[in-house]
Amino acid sequence: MTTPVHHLPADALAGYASGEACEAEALLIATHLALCPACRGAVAKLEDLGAATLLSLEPAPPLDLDAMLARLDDPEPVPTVAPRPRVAPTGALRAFPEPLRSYVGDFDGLPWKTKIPGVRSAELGVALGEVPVRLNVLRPGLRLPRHTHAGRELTLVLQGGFENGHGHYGRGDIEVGLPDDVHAMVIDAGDPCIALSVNEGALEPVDLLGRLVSKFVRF
Amino acid sequence: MAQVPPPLSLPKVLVQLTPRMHARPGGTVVRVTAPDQNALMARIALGDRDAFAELFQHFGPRLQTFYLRGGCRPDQAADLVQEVMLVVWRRADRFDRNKAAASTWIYTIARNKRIDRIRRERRPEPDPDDPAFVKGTFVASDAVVDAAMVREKLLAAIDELPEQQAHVVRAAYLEGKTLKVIASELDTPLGTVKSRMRLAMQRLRTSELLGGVTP
Repeated sequence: MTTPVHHLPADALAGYASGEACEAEALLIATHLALCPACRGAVAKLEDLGAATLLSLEPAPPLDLDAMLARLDDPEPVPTVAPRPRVAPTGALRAFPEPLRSYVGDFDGLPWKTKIPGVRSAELGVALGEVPVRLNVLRPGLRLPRHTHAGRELTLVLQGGFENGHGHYGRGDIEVGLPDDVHAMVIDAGDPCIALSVNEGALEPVDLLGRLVSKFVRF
Repeated sequence: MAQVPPPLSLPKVLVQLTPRMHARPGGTVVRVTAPDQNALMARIALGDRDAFAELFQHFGPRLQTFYLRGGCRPDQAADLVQEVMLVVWRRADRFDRNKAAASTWIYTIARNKRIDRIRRERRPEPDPDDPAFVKGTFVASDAVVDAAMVREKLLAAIDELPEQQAHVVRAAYLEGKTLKVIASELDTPLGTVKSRMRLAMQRLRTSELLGGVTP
């Protein structure tokens, strides 16, 4: 099994390890981690760093031990937000590792929109905060016009791949789209490309076709 | 062209947080070692309440500070600390000392509790039992280091950052604030705070402390 070539940026790893990343970002990050032992190693080290900071905090005065011991026969606290039900990796869902698969749930039942030929997009989940998470399915061989981003965007490839002028991105790879990076994309021949994107800002197209595209997709 | 990730050789300093001397304000020194913690965890897994009390007395007050700095009220913080330690008690038999130090395991429970109880969000995580999960090992070290040294190096590396970046890192890592909260406290746009964090992490990457963290 090959492992990813393009990895998560350091601040994304740190945001995940510290818990600062919102659920939308954490979903993309955790799904890359499922495919990338190297980034899992980095997160483990950053969690050690978190533990070091915890231990370096000045301890509060001793806590009420009796109150603590009195709770030891309680059941484990139930999470405030129920976890997504697990989904078996069958059919189209085989492309999606956990935790993403549980968020996709029913692939064909997602609110797919095809507003330009060759690109189908669906927003995932409902309560992922203010950050949109979008699944895109791109037709093999498609060329997307030059465009840029208002904020940083992380894209995780799940199936197929593309070329964007900086390199080739295949399953498990992370593409980091930055505001000052104007780029076009060419989707690989073969299988449709499926990618998950989390956008920290609105798209800012630089030409007419890009502006048109921006109404329908975010890359 | 395939880029091969460089080996993940984080300074051994961070890999395991073992024998340590904590100088506490007031002059008393509490000695807690990772082997002690592993021994405590093994006893707790068998239902030993005395061992649990010892672990609670070490971690509880630090967890309390962790939640207070994160903006919790004292009663809310105390309740969260109890919940974290209850999870430690309930899951002690599933703690694997080969995967992480006990302190790291407890830190992750505290972090996840904060996400669940304060932010009311889920914590998406990979599932090692998922058939799509790509197995692989990463370099781990069994080096024995001094946590006081880790702390010094960490604080020194942060101190070397430009003040605005250092502030964001301290608030996010030491106080557990979200970037959104930090932005509103500073009355600064979220994007600015995010880019400060990004720049800070880029700098820390090149420091000894976090060298090699990014594959």
